[in-house]
Amino acid sequence: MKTFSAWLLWLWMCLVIVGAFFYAPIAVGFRSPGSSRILFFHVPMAWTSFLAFIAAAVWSVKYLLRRNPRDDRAADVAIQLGLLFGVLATVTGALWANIEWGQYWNWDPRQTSLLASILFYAAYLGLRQSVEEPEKRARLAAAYALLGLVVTPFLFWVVPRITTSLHPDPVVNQSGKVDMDAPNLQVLLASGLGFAALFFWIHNLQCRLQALSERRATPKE
Amino acid sequence: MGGVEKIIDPNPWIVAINLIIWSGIFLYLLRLGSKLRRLEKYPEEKS
Repeated sequence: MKTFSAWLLWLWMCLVIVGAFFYAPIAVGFRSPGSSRILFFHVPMAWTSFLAFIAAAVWSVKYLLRRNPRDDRAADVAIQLGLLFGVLATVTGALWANIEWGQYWNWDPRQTSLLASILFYAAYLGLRQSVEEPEKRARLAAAYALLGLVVTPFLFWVVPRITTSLHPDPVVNQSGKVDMDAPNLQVLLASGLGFAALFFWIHNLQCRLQALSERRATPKE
Repeated sequence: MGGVEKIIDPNPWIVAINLIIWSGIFLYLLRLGSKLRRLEKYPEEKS
């Protein structure tokens, strides 16, 4: 990311933070109305995690087609970041659940499906660790990440909508639409965009970092 | 969230802490990016 775009992202996220507290009105119908602001960070984190897992599947397809190690690295890093954002979404969700529902963990379909995704992709990292030969590791990992194209949309979008969820209706509902007033929706979407940009930025840095360490680890001829 | 209430006074300290945390993460990433650029240009340099 160019320095100018990075500063633009900084400004964008600052506006999101200020907007979340001073522009978006407090939601009604919550035990602790102020706590609803966590929505502007918790939901985009879950979206970014989904984006990362789908991007990993796309890079895995590219790897299987072209056998370029850069695509394998990109898929690996995307899954690491997807896990990071998934864990952050789970933690922020649990904090909010404790305020609103009285317990950190409620086995709500959405909580459970995110946990299942995290476990599914943690197994991906385990798979990579267990295969020594780089080409075989990349091939197996790509095939596994491809499975995610079926598993991830099912866990993120289908399960919470075919079951009864404790989650607020405007975000998770049977119609699959986000149903909220304009200022809240604007801040939520702006935050989603900001988090997506942040994901691609960190992804780029981590890929380059991994490439550098691999190059340093390779003995010179 | 269909209905809304008037904005409840947000605690400015919470906003400030959020901004400081985000700026810290941002500066760390910016610094990491410039360090990476340098290492890519001069691979022999010690990290």
